[in-house]
Amino acid sequence: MKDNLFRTLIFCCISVFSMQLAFGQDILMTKEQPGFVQSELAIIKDRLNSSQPVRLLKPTAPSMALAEQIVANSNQLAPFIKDLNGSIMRVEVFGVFKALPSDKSADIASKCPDGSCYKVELYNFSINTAITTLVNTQTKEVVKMISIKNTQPDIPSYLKDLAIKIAVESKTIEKALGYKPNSTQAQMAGTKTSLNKSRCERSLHLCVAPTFVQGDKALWSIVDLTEMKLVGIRWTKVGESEARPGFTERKLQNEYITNCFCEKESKVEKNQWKLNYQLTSSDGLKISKVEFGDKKILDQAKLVDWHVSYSNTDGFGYSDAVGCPFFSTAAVVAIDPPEVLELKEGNEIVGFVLQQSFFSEGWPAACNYNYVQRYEFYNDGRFRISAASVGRGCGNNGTYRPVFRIAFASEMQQFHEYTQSGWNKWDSEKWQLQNEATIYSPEKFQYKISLNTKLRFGVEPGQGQFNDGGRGDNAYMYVTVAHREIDEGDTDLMTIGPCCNQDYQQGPEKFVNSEPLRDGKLVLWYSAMMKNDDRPGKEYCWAKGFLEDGVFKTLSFPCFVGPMFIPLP
Amino acid sequence: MIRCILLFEILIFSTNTINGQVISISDCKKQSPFLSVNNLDVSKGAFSTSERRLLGLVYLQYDEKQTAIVGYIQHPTWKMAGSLGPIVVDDKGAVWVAPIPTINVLHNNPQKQNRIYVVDEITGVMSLAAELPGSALPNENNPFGVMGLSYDCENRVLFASSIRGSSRSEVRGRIFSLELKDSSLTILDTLSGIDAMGLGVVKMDGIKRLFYGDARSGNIYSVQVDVQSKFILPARLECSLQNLGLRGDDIPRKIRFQGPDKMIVHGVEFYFNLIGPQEKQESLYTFKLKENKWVFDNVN
Repeated sequence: MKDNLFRTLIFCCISVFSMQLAFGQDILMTKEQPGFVQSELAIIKDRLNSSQPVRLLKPTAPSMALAEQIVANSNQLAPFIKDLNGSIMRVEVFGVFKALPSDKSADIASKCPDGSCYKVELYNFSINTAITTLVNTQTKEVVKMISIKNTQPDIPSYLKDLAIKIAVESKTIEKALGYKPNSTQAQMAGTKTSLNKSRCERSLHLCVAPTFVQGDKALWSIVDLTEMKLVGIRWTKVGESEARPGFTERKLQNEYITNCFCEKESKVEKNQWKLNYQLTSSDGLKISKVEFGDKKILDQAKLVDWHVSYSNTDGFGYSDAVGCPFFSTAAVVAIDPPEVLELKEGNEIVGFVLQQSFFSEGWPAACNYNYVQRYEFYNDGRFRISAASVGRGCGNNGTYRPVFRIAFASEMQQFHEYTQSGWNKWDSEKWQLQNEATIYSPEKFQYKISLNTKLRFGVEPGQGQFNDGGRGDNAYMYVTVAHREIDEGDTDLMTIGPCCNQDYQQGPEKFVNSEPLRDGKLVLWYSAMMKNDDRPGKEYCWAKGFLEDGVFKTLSFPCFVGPMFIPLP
Repeated sequence: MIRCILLFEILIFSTNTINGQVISISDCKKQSPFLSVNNLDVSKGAFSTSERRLLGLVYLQYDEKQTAIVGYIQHPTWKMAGSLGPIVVDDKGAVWVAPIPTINVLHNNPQKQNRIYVVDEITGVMSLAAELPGSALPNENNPFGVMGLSYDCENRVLFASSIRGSSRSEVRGRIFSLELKDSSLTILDTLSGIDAMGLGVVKMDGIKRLFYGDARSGNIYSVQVDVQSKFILPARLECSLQNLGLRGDDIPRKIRFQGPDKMIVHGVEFYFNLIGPQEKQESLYTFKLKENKWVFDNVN
């Protein structure tokens, strides 16, 4: 569905003073690559598809050119070029040097008796590994090869130029500086020979830090050369900048998300919809004060918990909260900002989506998680509150149970369930399970909620009908009285339920005590259930890595759940 | 290496000099007598609070090669405080631990995280030893309390760090100096306004210093400790984990000293949240004392 949507740019926290962070267009423009990045990608693709996929440095000295050729064609390098599935990894030569005495350890000194040995440094972008080799150009032999994971050699000049180009063409940097810089301004005097390396400890990508000096301040940027994009920027005082920057990819991302979306509420006004949204400490992306036209619809909605169970017997699993990355009680955190996207049915724009992802570092490797929260707002007044697990978790026997909390506006609410005898009003707090025996109204509603005499919504749970890959919600619905004097989840709720209960005890039952509903203010709690699947062709709540253009990408199979609310005449 | 020296030179925290030898005074642990009663092979055993499927404290038994876990014991009381973090074994064999929530707070009520528990060396029963005062109550963004422990064998004093009540904008953590008497703790002194994680107590040139790792910056500071186990300010910056190692943003979780000139710092990712990576992202940073400065040596 995401492909059918186009992005609305979100601008936030554009940097204007020292130590502030700035992001904006660049984050959202990363998927719309500029021409020079596309050209670079074309070069990479050509090389990966050639018979000798290692990108060479092509030094002018014939002996050095020979040295890198010997390494690129050697059997020793083969395991670093193809992965276990035979896919080609992106490997490039970063440097060729005359071997120094210090490069020749005692055991190989005899293999480099004269000046015919060269040191060739390579980098594997796919597995973030530096490969250092010693080559004898006389015997045409690779006499030594060492690989060090999570290490990068100094970058060659073409990558330095590319990093600077990405930085100087960035709208974020232009906006922060107040002018469009040129490439000669992208280095500090003390770092002319090479860009300062910078940490991309979260993505484990090759990153460098072009820097722009402006008076007594320096604007540092982090450029990701694996994905060829700007990661973020930060102002520092020049004195501080002479050392290596005290920030990393993770610090920049965490501080940006915290500054712009955890500590600030944002607003969306689109079509007839108006709402606020904010990332919470542990309740995901919360929407509040939701209005459609002149009607108040929701006080708030949020995602309280994710319960993940791996066994029906020994109770092993996790109870995860999603939320802010810095000072929070979230176990899976927001790294990217919320997105506002257009919602299409066929070619027709029918509304918009507010979406937020939460990641564990290392996803999609085993025991790492990725959750998506998605609010859909239709032009005709419908809205859907949904979420998905995007795998991969700790096994192929996982059961996911997200717990939503939905508080409607208005003081006079009634809740009905569709039964064999028609609509049955709930008079007291209780819960109900959607299962094979559930009876739906002709409109596919299981419930309906009335906010007043004029405003009512049918509640349509997922049965696989929403064209998002979802296979049904199997949800518990709990209805409780909203108390003004008691906080039952209006503010941030820390984990409310354990990982592995297989019944109604997912947390909201704590607030269900048969209290009369009295046509007052209500809270709906909705806990769906999905079982993951890793079987080829049937993947669900699952993700797996694959090599594309020499670097690992992720193929994901989200399992969306969540009810649609449809206004009734 | 450059970073550590650089910080030392740029930031003027103190004019104290470091000369001579470093003597660890926190490693005097005695085998807990209750382990012998249980017929355990203590030469192949260890306490742990970081077993993924086991809540609380456990005593693990390893195989002959000491590489695989073959069993464990856990007294029923060892789960009483939920998920735990630092462990210190004292010179009588009592085991001191503190709670740290992992992944969620289901077993770790944020109101009860500023506590220290002790396992009696004879009975093996865990009980509450101290509820430390915080300068602020826990808040919805910070469920943590005590983060680090270190034991001063000379004075039988336990040092504890806490970040209870701190927020992104306010540093409200404390470091406590606590006297051990039987199975209880008495506060001797408190340092306020410090969010510290790992602690390590040491003697340098006969002067006792408590090293602590800043939970926000990755810097390692030290403060002098007098004969009454009270802190003597100012603290001084010793070195930093900033930009070192694989990640570059590690925080010192644990600090220990080895031999006459070596400091080993266990560094982890920490952003005051509850992420729980499957593979523990921890690196061991070694610093060596050279020309009165702690110089980065290597990382594993």
